Amino acid sequence: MSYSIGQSRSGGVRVGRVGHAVLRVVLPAAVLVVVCLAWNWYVGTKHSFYLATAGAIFRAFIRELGDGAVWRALWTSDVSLLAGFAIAVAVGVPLGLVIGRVKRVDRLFAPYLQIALVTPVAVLMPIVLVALGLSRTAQIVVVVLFALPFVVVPTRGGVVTIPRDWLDMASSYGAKELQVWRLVLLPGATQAIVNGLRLGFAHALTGEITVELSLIAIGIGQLIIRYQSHYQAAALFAFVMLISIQSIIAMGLLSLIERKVRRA
Amino acid sequence: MSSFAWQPNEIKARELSTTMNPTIEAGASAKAGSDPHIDVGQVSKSFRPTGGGRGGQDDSRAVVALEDTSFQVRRGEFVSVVGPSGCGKTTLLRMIAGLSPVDTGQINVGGKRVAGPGPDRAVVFQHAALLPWASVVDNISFGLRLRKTPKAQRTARARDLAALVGLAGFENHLPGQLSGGMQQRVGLARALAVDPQILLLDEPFGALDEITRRQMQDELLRIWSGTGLTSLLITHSVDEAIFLSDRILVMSGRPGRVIEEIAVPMGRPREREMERTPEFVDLREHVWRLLSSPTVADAHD
Repeated sequence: MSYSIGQSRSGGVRVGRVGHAVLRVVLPAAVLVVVCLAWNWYVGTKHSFYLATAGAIFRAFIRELGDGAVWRALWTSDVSLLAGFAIAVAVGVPLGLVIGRVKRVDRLFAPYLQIALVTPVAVLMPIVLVALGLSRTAQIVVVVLFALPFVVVPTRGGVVTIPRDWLDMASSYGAKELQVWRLVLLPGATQAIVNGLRLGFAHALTGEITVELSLIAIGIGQLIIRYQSHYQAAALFAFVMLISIQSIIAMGLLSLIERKVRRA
Repeated sequence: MSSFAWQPNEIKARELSTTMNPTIEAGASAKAGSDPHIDVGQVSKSFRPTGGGRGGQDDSRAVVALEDTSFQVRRGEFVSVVGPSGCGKTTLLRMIAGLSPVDTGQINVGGKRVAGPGPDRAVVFQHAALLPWASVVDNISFGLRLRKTPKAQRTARARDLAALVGLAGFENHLPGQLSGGMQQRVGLARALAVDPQILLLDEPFGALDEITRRQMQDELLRIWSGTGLTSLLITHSVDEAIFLSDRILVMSGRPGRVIEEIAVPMGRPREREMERTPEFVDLREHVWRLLSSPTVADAHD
């Protein structure tokens, strides 16, 4: 282990492109190694059914990659997650854009947006379930509730913070409202909108798992509960890792979309 | 004060609505070619403070930015407006540009009442107002794009203008990669691209350092003299106003109004050496005396 730490040090001393690249890879890797070592040491002192060593978790991860039940659970949840996220985006982005552009609408929604941001949506879940039953629809509605404010607020911010100069400039050349949207507002707000999508996705995932863990035990939530009740700590942590990796891929896709849009 | 006499039909037109419209309405009457290109008649404008929430209806809190301001600019003339901060210079320019409606009075451009932005006027903004994601060429051709000029044509025109303002070789740069002076060159090129009759310059060099500023003044003179555009320049700088203009309007502080119109006695082409001539020095003294008189200095807060 001292090998990688030594490497990163020499990377820091050497000033140059190669040195920086080494540093960028080696330093985080070193952090991971240190955390794993600390984790293993901690697990070793506890001897608990709820914990597993880093090695055991990694082996469980490999095993789960070939386990059909794991992929089925992921898929079950992902359908609701994606449906809910898609609805949140389809509603939230236009809503945020309009709120950001039209002052009257902004005044109408501003207090509720603030409330929506700080309200723990989890406490609203029972109401949704009473209204819609233990259905996939209910699950999707919960995901939408979790994600929506975090899509709307940054999108609104992206429009509101467009410098007035740009808008004046556009109208001084006779831009009509649609042209202002196409040439100024949308390109100017792209970054903020994508940030909203990222935040929204993270909250959608939280909503999805929360509802499955607490009320509708299917998919990811069901599997987590099963691992917990069977004291399969390694499998549980490995599964969480899998969910994280899936989210990282989703975020990467959003970044890709952002770059595509910016180039257009 | 301006010694400009009102015609009855113009007064009637002033009483018409002051709502903004993205077009130019037909004015009071179509007049002969000898008429002023820009005609500002007894224009007033006040602002209500917006931050106070519910107090919007309270007229006593309104700030009078411009009061009873009148002046004219002839076709092809270069006129500067000098005044202290907060005297409503920029407001005046925005109203001529059609970006902001007048409260009372009226503004005619080319004999037609201003009711919104129009293709006859182009604004050069104080902070360039470039779109940061668009290249120099795309920024320059912004107005042409709105006018649905074919892409090849507008790109060619933008490249020509980039060369004219000294940005050859920077056509594909983004605004963030340019210095402040270069950004302002793009702003000027963008205004020229739409082939306007009037150039409205809102303190375009105000944010630049002294050296760049003087370079830009020389450039502006060079480009302007090649076009003969009617130009209205808002500026803080007395020297800039004298060096560039045919005429200078000196404005008082809040509420702003034109307290004196001064014809610049120097001929063209202008040279930097003129700044040392007695005419220039005297004129500078005179303008400074006006600007530091009590009523004018009031606007400094």
